[in-house]
Amino acid sequence: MENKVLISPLDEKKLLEHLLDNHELRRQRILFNRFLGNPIWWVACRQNGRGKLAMHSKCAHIWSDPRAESLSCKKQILSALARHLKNPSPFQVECRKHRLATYCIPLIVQNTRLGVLCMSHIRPAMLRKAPVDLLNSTIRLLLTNIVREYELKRLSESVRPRAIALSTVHTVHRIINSTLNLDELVTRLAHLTAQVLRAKTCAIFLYNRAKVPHLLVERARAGGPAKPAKRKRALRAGEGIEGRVFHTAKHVIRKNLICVPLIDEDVIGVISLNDKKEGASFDIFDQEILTTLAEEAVIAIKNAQLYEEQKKVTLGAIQSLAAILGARFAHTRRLTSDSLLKITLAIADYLKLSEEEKQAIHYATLLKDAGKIGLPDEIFRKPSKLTGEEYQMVRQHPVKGAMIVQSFESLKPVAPIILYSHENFDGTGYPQGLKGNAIPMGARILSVVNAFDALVAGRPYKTRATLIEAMHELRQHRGTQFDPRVIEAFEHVIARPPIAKLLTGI
Amino acid sequence: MASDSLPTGDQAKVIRFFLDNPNSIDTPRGVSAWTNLSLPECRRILEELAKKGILLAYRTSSTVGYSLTENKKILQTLQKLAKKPHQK
Repeated sequence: MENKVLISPLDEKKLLEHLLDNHELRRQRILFNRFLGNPIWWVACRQNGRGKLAMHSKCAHIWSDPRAESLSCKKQILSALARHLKNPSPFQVECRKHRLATYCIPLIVQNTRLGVLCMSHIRPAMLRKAPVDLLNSTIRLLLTNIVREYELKRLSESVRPRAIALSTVHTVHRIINSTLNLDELVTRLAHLTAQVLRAKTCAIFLYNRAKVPHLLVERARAGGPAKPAKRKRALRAGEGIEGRVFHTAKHVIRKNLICVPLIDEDVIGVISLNDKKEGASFDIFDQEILTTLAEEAVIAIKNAQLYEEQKKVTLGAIQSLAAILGARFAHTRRLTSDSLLKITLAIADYLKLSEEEKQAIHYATLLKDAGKIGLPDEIFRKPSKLTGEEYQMVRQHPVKGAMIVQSFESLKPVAPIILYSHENFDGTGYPQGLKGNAIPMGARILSVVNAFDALVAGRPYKTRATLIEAMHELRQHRGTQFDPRVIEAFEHVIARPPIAKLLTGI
Repeated sequence: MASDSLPTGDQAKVIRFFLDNPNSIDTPRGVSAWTNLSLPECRRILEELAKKGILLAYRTSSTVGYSLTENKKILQTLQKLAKKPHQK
């Protein structure tokens, strides 16, 4: 069954122009000219689908036949065409004065008359049945093909923008799902959403159940004033448009604003956009796109929130363990766990390590003494030199610490930092004698911080060092025991607040 | 922009795609489908245009998404150049 497409007056005009431009029709014209004695080809149509029939203005130009402009018996032919207006079959018009005929083929598409294809100045004897039948079939086929091409083009024009929009939504989905950091995710989402919907501003509000009263807090904003407000907006459910969307779980769409809820099992927030660029208005297409983006964003946001929760639980467990270790080994330290952590993370910041590396160093600093848990206290309090056996036991503690930590999937990146924290930069350390950059950076940092803490805490066999003495000792071993870059970073970090303040009294 | 019209050939195709679809954010594979360019060629052109600041690049571990810059000056220049006829 042939699919029918509605043909508007604009379509009629375009179809006719497609026909006139058609390469195959030109080729057929050249072929049929031999049978018909080189007639003048032209098309009669109505201007804008109304009014009198007239020659199409482009005929002479397109078919390069200047004879079309001085067609004899033109009025007679046009009158005949008008009389045959409802005739769907080809017909002939005779010009007795010049003893010539015009052969006319109505161009009909789905009961719509586009015009009439005429071949004038034919000697009547040339209009034999065989070539005329072939001509009729050829024109009918050409017309069918042109209409099909036109329909496909229209379909493509209607489908293409939607396909591009779908591809955009998919790309945005991939970009926002590439991070589990909630702040980074919502910031990216706000920028991308503003770009996709061509809005001047986009804000993302998430519901904060942790604090009372429960508020809808603005977590990210794209666009807006050059100097953003110092405090992020916070709304109660039902307050303002965003609060209302959150409360009702229904979108709002206006000329200059569109706001949709972020819905998981409950409403977890809203996305709100203002002021489309170039003065345009938000429309139903924008609402569809935004709703799709919101549905994808919810999954990404929930994943990031779950990841944050998991991190908090892990950190809580680690901090509890660190507190136990701290209590057990308090006598071996001068600095508190918190101070050690601040120094370590400040060095990591100075060296521009990634967030993942900093997190691993954070946990490693808290758990670095985990391997010592099985060692007897006497070893740590012994004022004299350790025996060979005792020394071997102590050298095993990084290995044992790494094994303890490695048993937790989420702490696997932490294990190498603990394991190699007693390696020396020149390869003379333990347990594996790694050298230089083969030692993980986190381990090189921990090595310096541990050594500093041991120096300022003192040992049963050694008095405490002052800050200056400790720094001197560390510098002495730059390049041998310690990575020079880490020593430089350490010197920089402890010279400035807030770290310098932590070390007053040392 | 050094020239007084859009670059010819494949770079122009990509720029025109983004000018015609300013809210599009797409990967090299997507842009290659819309512009009928080969994937390797498309990747190369997209990176070049990102380096020039004509496109923004959003990089993830698995892909890169490209969109048209939001820089008004560059956009105005591109739109003016796009109206001019192609030059060889």
